[in-house]
Amino acid sequence: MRRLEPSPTLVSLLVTGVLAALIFLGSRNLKNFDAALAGYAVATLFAVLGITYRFVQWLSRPPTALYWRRGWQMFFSWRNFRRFLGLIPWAFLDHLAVQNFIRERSYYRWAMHLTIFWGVVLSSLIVFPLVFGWFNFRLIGEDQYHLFVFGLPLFTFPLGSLFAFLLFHGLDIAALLVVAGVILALRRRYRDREVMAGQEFGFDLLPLLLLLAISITGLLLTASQLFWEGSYYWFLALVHQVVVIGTILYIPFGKLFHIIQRPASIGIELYYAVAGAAGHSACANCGREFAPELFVQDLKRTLSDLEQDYVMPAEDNRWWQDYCPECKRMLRATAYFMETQRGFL
Amino acid sequence: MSVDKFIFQPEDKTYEFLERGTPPGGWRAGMTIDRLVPTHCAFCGVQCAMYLEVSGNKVVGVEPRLDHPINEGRLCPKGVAAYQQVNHPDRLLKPLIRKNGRLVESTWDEALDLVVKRFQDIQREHGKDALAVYGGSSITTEKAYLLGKFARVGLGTRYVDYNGRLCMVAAASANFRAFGIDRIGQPYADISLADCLFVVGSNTTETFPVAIHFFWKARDRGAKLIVADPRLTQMARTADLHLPVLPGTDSALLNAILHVIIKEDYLDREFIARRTRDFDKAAAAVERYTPEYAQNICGVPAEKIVAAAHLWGQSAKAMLFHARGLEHHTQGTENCLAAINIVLATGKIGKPGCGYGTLTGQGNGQGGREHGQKCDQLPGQRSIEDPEARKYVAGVWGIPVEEMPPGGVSIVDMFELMDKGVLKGMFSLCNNSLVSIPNLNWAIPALRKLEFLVVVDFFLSETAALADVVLPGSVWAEDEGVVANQEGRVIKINKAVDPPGEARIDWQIVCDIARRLGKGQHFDFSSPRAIFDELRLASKGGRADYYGISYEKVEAQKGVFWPCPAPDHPGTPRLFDDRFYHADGRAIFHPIEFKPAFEIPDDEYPYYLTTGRVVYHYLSGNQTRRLGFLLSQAPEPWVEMHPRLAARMGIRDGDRARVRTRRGEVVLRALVARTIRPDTLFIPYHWGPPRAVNLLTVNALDPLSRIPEFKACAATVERAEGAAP
Amino acid sequence: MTERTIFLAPQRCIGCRSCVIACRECDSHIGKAMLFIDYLNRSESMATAPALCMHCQDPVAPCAQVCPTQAILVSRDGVVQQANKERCIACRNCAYACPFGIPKIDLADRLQYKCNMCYDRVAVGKKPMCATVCPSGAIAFGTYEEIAAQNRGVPVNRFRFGNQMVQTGVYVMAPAGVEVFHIQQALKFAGGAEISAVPGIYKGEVWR
Repeated sequence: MRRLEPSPTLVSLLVTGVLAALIFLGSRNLKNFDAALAGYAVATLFAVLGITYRFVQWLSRPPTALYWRRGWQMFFSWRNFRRFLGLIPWAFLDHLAVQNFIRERSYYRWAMHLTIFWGVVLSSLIVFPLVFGWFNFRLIGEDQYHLFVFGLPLFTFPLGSLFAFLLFHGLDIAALLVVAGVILALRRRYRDREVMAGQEFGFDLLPLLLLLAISITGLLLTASQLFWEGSYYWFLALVHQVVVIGTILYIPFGKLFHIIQRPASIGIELYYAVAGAAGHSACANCGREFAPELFVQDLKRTLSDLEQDYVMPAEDNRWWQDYCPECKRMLRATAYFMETQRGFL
Repeated sequence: MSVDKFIFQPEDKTYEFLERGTPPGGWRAGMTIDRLVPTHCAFCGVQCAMYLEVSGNKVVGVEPRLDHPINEGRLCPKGVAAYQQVNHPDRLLKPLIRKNGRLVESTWDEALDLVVKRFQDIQREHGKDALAVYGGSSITTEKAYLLGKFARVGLGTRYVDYNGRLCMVAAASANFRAFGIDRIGQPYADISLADCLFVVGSNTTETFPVAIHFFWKARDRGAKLIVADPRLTQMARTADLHLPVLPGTDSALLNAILHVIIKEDYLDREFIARRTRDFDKAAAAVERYTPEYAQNICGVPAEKIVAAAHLWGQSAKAMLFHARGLEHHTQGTENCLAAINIVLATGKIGKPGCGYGTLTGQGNGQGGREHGQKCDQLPGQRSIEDPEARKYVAGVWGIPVEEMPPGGVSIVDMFELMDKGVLKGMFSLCNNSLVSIPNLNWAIPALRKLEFLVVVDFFLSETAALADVVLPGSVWAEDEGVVANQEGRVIKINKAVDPPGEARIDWQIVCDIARRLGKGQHFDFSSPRAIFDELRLASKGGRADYYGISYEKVEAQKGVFWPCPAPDHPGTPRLFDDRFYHADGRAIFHPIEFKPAFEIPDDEYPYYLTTGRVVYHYLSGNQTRRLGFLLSQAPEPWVEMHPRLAARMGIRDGDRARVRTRRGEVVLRALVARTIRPDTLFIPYHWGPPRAVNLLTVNALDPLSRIPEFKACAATVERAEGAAP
Repeated sequence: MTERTIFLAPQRCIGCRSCVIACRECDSHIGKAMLFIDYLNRSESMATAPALCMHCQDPVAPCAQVCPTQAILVSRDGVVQQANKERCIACRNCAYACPFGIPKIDLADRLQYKCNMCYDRVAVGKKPMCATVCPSGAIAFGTYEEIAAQNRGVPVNRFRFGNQMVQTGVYVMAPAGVEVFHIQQALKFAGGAEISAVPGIYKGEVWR
């Protein structure tokens, strides 16, 4: 199978175009578009351009491309669908919603990441539809709101209801979650020598500070509105906008790109389930099964694409990767002892 | 280690991170480290320097200490894990008293009152000598000294001994006989200067891993290595010459080497004439030990014996070391003397790059045997039979010399006395008889005959579980004091934290009991330094003279080699440069005849059984078996055998095998490997019953040193059908 | 490569696994052992050898190249880092591609771990944990010149796996004259054959 080489530029322009069109349509030809949020919308379009570009570029790397292709192949197989019906939803829940793998690393980090994660998800669910003009609310009578999505009326709810409170303060709740998580994260980054040793400001601390700045300026906007009679509102709004735009434009370049990459782990889950069910490769030396056969074949293909050649002509053109890691170490050591038989070194 | 990757190792190491033994409070990366406490390891005789990392009042980690000449940062796996004992969840936090057959928690007052009352009752009823004190060498010298004094002054009993009796006492006995002093002759650093290293009966790579760097440094310079061992150990694997000696036949091997040395005239006649006595007697004794004669006894081919003699004889600078393999025999003392004969005959002692020594096992194996914890000694390596010594020490202790008890008997002999009902009670600190005494099927019933057993320990050892009172003591990081390591270097253990819960520091427990026994005026110590000051005085003028040593000097010099008779004396790293320590300053040759082991194989028990250690465990394993990583690497003992032997008995690698001797049997996993003689079985000894190899060993003793013959007895092995895996 | 790197001398190894437990103590490893002491064949010999990340230079870090999420980064001084925590999806490509068999996978954490040359320690002038504690000098850390002067061997960092030559940042000590280790040689003795057939693993062996 030869792979297509889509141009990152084309794909990213296409995706951005589609989003622009959706904004146009979803806001009823910009009728529902909030001009005050135009800056956000434009920045989002640029961020999407960047993220897609980076995403396509990423997918063009041989190992990523192979997993991407295999993943969808397996996903769209009716046979696999029947066999592994529950796997994808379960993995989605386990890897993305509950993030048990982080709990395994530590409860502290789990709490830290879940609060940030859900804070960001919640705020994104509220903010982007608003920015794109996909949601809008109309007051009906004295105390009823009507929610329109893509210009279509959805339902009404009373102004004083809990739902209304949650909806209008959703961003504040999200901000509080993010602030809590970021504080946990920063505490760790200033205390734990494990992370301190390897962290870099631009990669590890900057995104935390950006999230913190977004949340705090957002909360201050609410405070200004509710308690300070709108003082500083304009200034705060500007700062908030600058920080938010900076952050979304930063996504393709830094640590936050993992938001885009991470769902791939669901594909890996599926890959191992399908490939594992098809049979394992036995080590060419010790005979123990060590990895799915398909995986080993794919790995060889990836290595070939990367122009690495571990073929051993004297061993029936077997690959060095046909040996299990333990035998690789043991055989290398044996080769070493053969060379050094001449003595103590 | 010494374990097949498929026996105890995880099936697939790619997914295994060996995380067992995570500290109770988690790894320290997220904690603030308040202090780094410089100290030395809790375990073997090398006494590697290390820093303990303290957060709050908790020891949370270890950091290598690069500035100490013993190890320059190096540590073995036990050393790395040592700190994990301190906060261990198994720590004893309250005194335990046996009530209705069960050990229940009590107060200190209740426990100590009971100890004192029972001790007084026993002594009133059966005499002072009905009580015994059993100490050990993995405690500071201050505590070892205190225990000897506690027995003789606090309890007034003659019966005191220590677990070094099960360790290297044959070497001590031989050293006294040959050199008049019991200490290795030269510091570690000298090892690297040698051209030939002869190691007999020491699995140095597993027992003293960090000492190996001195050996390897010598080899970097091209030094030759000769190893005599029934097993092809890690060290023997790389050796230039491996002498696969049959267990219990070392004296024949060593005599034959001396025979060849004499025949080939590798003698240093000038040295023999000027610095030794009785060479002729020794030479006459080895006359008939030709290599051909010896090979039939010791199983080492004659040409290898000759090769060893040549390697040794042709090296300008050579050193001989031995350890338990040579010492744990009914002929233990004589084995060591046979080794010393080789060293003396070739003059390879008392100059740089030359020397001899026993590789002492325990952390304070040297210091623990110098200051009156041995049944036959008073502080300063003085003989308890020497009237002058009795008078001097009685003076230091402030007791009339008539009250100084006479010499006692060794610990194995004490078990004999328990069995006979002569001993009624025992105070035990720093040992674990239920693992370490030979022939446990005899020893455990003997121990049970005691009316009253008190054990001080920080974990509930197998022995403590049998005791009437268990007193929670301190681990090494909770007290300060000195120890003397393998090379006779006195170094300082420092206190990092206080004992947890109601656990107390060992010397305070001993002093408290003595006070309650009405001997408070002799045990009025406020600190380890106060004990040390009395010890210095008590050792003054003795062979192991500590008088000139101070804590400050130890820290400043990074260790002081005794003897150090005066405060301005720098210590004595090289002991034999200009004299030996008999009255005439000469070393003495001893004529040695080979004597077979107490028990030799026959048709019924056709193989030799020998015992030894694993790098992951220390002594009875009471400490190391609780440290997750160490346990995961060697969770249970195994029986090692040659494929030829295994095939004969129908045993395959990994099978359960039943090993039997006349005294008992154990069922263990079989490790079938070509790294052992085909007529020998090997079992490591760190585990208690029912997997204790000491259920099989023989309680036969060396008449000269009273060391038991752990390293040779007759055994058989069979496949254990259906035994639980 | 950094000025100072790791030098392996398996002939000195005494198999004590001090490096393995010490590896867990490094603050950047938090309780996980990331190197190996392997017996060549315990049934035949006591010979053991340390195995840790060789920090491949050419081709640069095969593990990083096969990583689908670019989780493995190579620092400016040539140290191949362990997988980036937020990117790694535990696909196991690195573990099985690595010609030396080094990376480990924690399936619960969904994360790869491997030797990072204790960057937290090296950054402040210390040696990696394994090289600090190693009793025998089988794992040493220093400059090429320092180690070459101490050891009778010559540091070599080229290995041939079939058609592939790999040059590493970590060296092993070799006898003079050996410039490349040919792994294929060892395969003649593999497949269950006795490693002890290799002359020289046993010196002074008497019982066969």
